[in-house]
Amino acid sequence: MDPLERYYLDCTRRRFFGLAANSIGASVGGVALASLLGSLGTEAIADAGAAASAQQPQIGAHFPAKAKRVIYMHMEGAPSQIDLFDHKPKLRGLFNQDLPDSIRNGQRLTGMTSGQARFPVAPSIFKFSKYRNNEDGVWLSELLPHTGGIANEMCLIRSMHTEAINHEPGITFFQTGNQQPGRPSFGAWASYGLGSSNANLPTFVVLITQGIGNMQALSARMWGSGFLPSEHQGCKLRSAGDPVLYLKDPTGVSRDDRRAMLDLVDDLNQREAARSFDPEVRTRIEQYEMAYRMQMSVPELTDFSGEDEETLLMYGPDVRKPGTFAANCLLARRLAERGVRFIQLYMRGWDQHGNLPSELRAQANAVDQGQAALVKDLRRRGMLDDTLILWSGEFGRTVYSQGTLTNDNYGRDHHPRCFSLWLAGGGIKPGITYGTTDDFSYNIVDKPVDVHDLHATMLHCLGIDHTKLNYRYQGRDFRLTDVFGKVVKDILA
Amino acid sequence: MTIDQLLQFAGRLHPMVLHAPIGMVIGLLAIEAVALVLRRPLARESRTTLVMLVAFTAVLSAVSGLLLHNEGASESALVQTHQWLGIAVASAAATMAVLQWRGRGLAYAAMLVVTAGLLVPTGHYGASMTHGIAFLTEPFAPKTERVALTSATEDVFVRSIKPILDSTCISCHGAERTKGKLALHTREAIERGGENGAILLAGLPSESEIIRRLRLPLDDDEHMPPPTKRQPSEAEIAAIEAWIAAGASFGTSTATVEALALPVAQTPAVAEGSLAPPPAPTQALASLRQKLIHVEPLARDATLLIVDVSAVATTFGDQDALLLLAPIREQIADLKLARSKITDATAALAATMPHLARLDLSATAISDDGVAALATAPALTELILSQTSLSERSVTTLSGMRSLKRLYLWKTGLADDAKQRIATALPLAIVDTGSIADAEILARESDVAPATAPATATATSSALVPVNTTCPVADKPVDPNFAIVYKGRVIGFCCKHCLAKFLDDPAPYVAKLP
Repeated sequence: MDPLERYYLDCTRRRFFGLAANSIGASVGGVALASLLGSLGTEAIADAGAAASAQQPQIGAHFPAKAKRVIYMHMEGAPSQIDLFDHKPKLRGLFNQDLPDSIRNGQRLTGMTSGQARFPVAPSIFKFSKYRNNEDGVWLSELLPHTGGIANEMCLIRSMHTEAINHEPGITFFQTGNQQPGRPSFGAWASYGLGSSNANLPTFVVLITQGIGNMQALSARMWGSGFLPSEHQGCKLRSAGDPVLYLKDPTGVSRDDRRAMLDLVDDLNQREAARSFDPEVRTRIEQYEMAYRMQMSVPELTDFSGEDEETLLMYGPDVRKPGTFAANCLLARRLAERGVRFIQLYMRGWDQHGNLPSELRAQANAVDQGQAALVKDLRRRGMLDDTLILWSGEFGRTVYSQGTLTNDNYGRDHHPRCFSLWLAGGGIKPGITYGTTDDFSYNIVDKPVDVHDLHATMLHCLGIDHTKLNYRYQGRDFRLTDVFGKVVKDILA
Repeated sequence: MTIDQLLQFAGRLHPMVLHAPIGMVIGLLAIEAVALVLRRPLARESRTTLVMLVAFTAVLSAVSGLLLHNEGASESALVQTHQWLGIAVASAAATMAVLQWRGRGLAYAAMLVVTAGLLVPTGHYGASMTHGIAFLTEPFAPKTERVALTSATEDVFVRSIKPILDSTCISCHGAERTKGKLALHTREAIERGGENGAILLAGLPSESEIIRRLRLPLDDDEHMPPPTKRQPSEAEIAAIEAWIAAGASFGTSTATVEALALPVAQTPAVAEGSLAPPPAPTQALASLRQKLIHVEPLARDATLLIVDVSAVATTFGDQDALLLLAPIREQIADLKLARSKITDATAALAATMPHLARLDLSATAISDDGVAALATAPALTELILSQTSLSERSVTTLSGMRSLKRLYLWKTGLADDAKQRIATALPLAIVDTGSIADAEILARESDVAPATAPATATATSSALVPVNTTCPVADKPVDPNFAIVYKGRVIGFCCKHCLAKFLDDPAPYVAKLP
């Protein structure tokens, strides 16, 4: 045998105790017992290998969870909080006046506006309406009429802030808890921490909608698994053609042929697993089987023909066009229904540096009806209780105009110091707002929430103590919230 | 049969095996004493036989004890002490046997006394685990607290609630210590409450301080019990809730215990985890997973289970339910059967699940009969019946299910007024009728006088008209939408790309400006 392979696969003392502790229990009695049993211990190791590869959580919830799954709608490009959520009527009187220095306070700007001689205040040209929620109502923009309809389910946080000022680090921070690439994404952590609840589908699914406005790059590492085992990475479903590439059997290969081939490979893999006790071999066997099952489950998943007319109407006309946000919202509901743990929707094109009024209107229109329908649809199916929904961009946009400010046109630059997002569903207090910003929607004046806090709170809803979901890599324990994060208890149901 | 099962079986022999060394050590001690007093030598064979038997059974007891511990017993100090004492007894007995074999008479005798001496505390701690710490001294204990509580010997409080309070609360809130001026050891004390007032509101668990504290996240300062103390299980908290919901009575008959479906503690003195079901049989879980049915514990150490058949919903029927779910009937707390092929038979099975709190039957062929069967489900609080076909009979059944907290009735075939009647009958429940009505609009900005921009607006913004008419980057006409203020001058571009290019390195383009 190859000496290197032998080294890796040999039952070292450390490996023996590690696996024995898993299978028999980590108490003193357990270890004593494992050594007592001698040769029987190896059988326990083989069992442990099987257990590790089975579709069950490696970690499990630390306490009973309120939410079993997450639907995370990421608005890539950073939607303008001032034009959608953070109603600042007083700004109307300050049209085109300079942003006071006391507000900006020397904060860094992007290269796109740092050269501007002045920073003219651009009030939102959109009218807001006040919707009934479980407090004294919430003001939302005319751009989100359908979303206003679910105000009684939304927990709107207006006091979010982030460290990043550009898209790539901003999105990376939101997805992985760190601005630098390389860490596992939220969905991968959820998959690692809770495992799959439908063995026929991936645990972490990503759906992407192309936007109307300026689109930033969106790379696959945003749903990567970083240093976690690769089975935890997100699976992107394509909107056109085959939802999953290479899932179909090639021409001339029947499903029976495929089965026969898999059986043979399985036999070989089983022998290898029995010889080496390597859990990775078991994982591989499972993955082959999963792909075989996905050949049946994915076409059924993406087939909307069983949906009734009333439901399709609720999601709006776009729902019939694959890849639109409305269609992806319906697909998200179908994924949630089938027990997929983490469903991530991306809507691209929210980067309105210029021409904000017209671009934002189109952009908001593309998401509004679908996302509201998703919440309502989950609710009436009894799934809003155990599905956690997050709608967020990676940062906010400036109160001052980028470029020319006119009565009916303006642009807005990146703004990390405050922005708005909303949550709904499992474990979240419905129909509330949290946190406030100053009159310019520039600084937070009450109850700031940072990205780590958001992650900690969401993990809490999933039954996970964010300080205990760890993975050891390169000699130290890593977690989604790094060394930060406080659960925002005030927004918990 | 797996090795795990065999080990589990061996461990469970512990309560039987352990009596052998106890009896034989006493016997050995007795015959040695008699021989010593009568100065008659003991037959060598009998002594050796007995000594060997003592050593063998002592070691057997210790090993089986470790196996039993391994099965998931608690890590309390009591268990630890008993474990180490047990290992000590086994070691002493083995040493004694060796000494006797080697003919070291005096050392053997000394070790026999040591073994016998160690057996006393070992046995005591072991018995304390099964019968309770106070079991032995109970007859001498002051009678006051029991008198107050045993007025009706079979009441819900004594059988179900007091054991929970005794095991989780009274070490700090009892006769000896009354932290926060709160004691929970007598009826009077419970009714009196603590320094913050009453701790329970009969009929309203959600408003009761005791439930609020128990339900707070573990890291909340106000959470009780403190994180370092033993935490009550979900079922135990649910039992207290159910007891408060039923009126927090201190004198209900047993009949009501069953009606309330309160888990009745088997032995009131056995405190730890008495209300949580035993772990599900590993074989049953393995067969579920083999059929791709998702099963996970409610939390890492919980024995209660979440079961979700989504992956195989289209083929999962009553037969599968009977075969796969019945063996873990006791453990299922959350069962999702949505979109499956089950019928009323499985609903009847679900009704016999003692801990089932959440049941999703949406888009199944369940009918009024199934709903009727569910009326007796002991712990059910959330029921999802959307996309089923029900009729008037179910309105009556559902209206009587007072313990429901959430009920989903979208597309059940029930008319709006029928749903409304159910909602009225269940004032404490959230009844979702499936309405997709939008939240009401309370005010519109457009209704108030439109805020006009200040008159200066146009004038000032005209100051932002670019100084150039052709784009300095692409030499195309300027689009005023792409303009920036650069070094005090407004510079226009034809598109955002040129603007970006300019910002990257303005120098070459500045020269082209007028």
